[in-house]
Amino acid sequence: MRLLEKVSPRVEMGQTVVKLPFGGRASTKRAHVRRVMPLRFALAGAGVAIALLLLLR
Amino acid sequence: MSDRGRQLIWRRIIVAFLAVTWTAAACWFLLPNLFWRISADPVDWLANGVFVLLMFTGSFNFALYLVGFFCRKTATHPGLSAITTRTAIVMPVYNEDMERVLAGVRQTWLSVKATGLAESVDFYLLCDSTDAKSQANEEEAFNRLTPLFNSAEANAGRLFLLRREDRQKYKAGNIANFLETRGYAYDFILVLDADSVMTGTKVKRLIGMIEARPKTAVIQSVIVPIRARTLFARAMQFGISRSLSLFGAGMYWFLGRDSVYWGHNAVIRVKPFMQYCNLPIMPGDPPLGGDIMSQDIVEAALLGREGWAVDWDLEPGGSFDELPANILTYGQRDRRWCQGNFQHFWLIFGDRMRFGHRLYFANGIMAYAAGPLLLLLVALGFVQGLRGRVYANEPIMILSFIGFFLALMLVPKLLGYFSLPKDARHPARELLSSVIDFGLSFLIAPALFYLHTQFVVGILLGKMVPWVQQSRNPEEGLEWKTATRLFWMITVLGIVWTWATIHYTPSFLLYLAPILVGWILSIPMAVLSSSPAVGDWVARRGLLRDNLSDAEIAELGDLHYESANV
Repeated sequence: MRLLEKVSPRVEMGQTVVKLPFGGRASTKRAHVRRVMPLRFALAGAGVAIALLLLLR
Repeated sequence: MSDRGRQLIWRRIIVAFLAVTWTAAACWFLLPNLFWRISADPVDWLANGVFVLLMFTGSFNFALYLVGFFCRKTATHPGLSAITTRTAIVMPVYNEDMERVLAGVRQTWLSVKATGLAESVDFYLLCDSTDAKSQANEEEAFNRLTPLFNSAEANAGRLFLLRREDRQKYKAGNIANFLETRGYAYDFILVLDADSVMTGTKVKRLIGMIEARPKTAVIQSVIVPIRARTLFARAMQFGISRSLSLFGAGMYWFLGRDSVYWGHNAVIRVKPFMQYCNLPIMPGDPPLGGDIMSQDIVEAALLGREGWAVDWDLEPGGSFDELPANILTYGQRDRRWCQGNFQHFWLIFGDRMRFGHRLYFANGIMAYAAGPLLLLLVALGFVQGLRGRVYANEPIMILSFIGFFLALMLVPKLLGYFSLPKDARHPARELLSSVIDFGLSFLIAPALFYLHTQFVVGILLGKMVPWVQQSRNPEEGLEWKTATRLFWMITVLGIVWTWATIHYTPSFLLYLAPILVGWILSIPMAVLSSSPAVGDWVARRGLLRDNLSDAEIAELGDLHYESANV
């Protein structure tokens, strides 16, 4: 039986890193978080594509 | 690929087929009258896209109910082993009503003890309250509870109160702090919410199941709401208690080992959880970036990507929580969940995520995006009416429209009735209760769509939602003044829109009516549905009653409203 009082180290939780699209990254460590920068370009691109489709239809 | 993997693929193909077929049928019958035009008008194209997206989401969830009903008997679990491990039951507490917390801990612990688990289980109150009075109440409740925890075994059956100095990462951070300081002493933790109650039999079953499944990291129980008092909460409790087990069975049948964790009333294996579930910070600024607010599904996904299974225990009963009492408190809870779910967007495309978890992230976002999208759809229909479109309201069109939407809403309720044990089926009572439940949902849903639209627009504009204490008072009514402040705008808009539709595009009125009626009546409905007196009146007539067994009622003690108050 493990006794609660006899062992008392603080056991740190592991670190998590999730790679996201467009070079973004979510991470337990704030310093390792990276913005999903190209999103605005992707949105702008989608907007231009829709506008072109509507114009050329 | 293993047989199990192949089986799961077939299951997913079947659900996809059902969802696509129902969506295609709805498009075939409904779209020609509403939007679909060969001329490819951009407004029609946009409306067609929104219609297909909404119908597919509804059809997908409908398909889960169907497979849940027809396949639930096949979703069995292996037999239980004798308990040989140590478990900590942990309950995060944040500025809560401690009388209610105390009652929940007492009933849960008495039941756990009666099941013979006291030798292998400890109980932790993880108190995160910021308010000095709340902290004092927690300590008083703790002192009142300790006499119950007097196990003969010196190192088990004990109650602890833990506080942390650094209140980071909300509830997930509170549990992480427990794991880092005390987790080493336990094989499993069983997480409860401050309004949770569980029976000892269910706790024992969950621990036994996770012991028997070495590759499983989480087993989630089917949670049934209790203690509803107002008409709003009673109707929701009635609906959930009849249909959630079917939905859970369908979801588990479809997702398999990629199932979801709902944040409480679930048992968790400590080691993998500590290793892989230190929550990541999302890129960007709040509300879409920063600390994750809805952590449970993210934790399930993080475990899944490391090869661990997240399972469900589909056996109904023994696992309870509570519902918000009125549309305002329901909306406040939804606002936090809405922000949490939208934060998950980029995780849909995260590396090594399992398919089921990606899908669940998307489904979670659609749960809140559906309201604004539906309002957009009816607005586009109205615009087309103003542009001269006349909708052909032939009887077959009207019947198709009503039939498709009624089927989506009523079939799960019907299946829920037939899934009840035979001795619990009371046709007249269940039918009348279902009519009330359906009528109330029909009238209140448009106001909820409006609230969801506010939340989604606010989040997309960068408005942050603070983590506030959730109201758990089941008797909390709504005053006329508060309801008017909340819904005056949609009341006025509903009246003006009705007038404009009658004058400018009367053929579209049929399709707008469900929204407009709900908006015009939103203030009185919010007040009426929040009344405990109306809820009790309905319950005294045997309607909207819960579906608990005698054993469960006995274990809940004073926490069971029907036996205590009505």
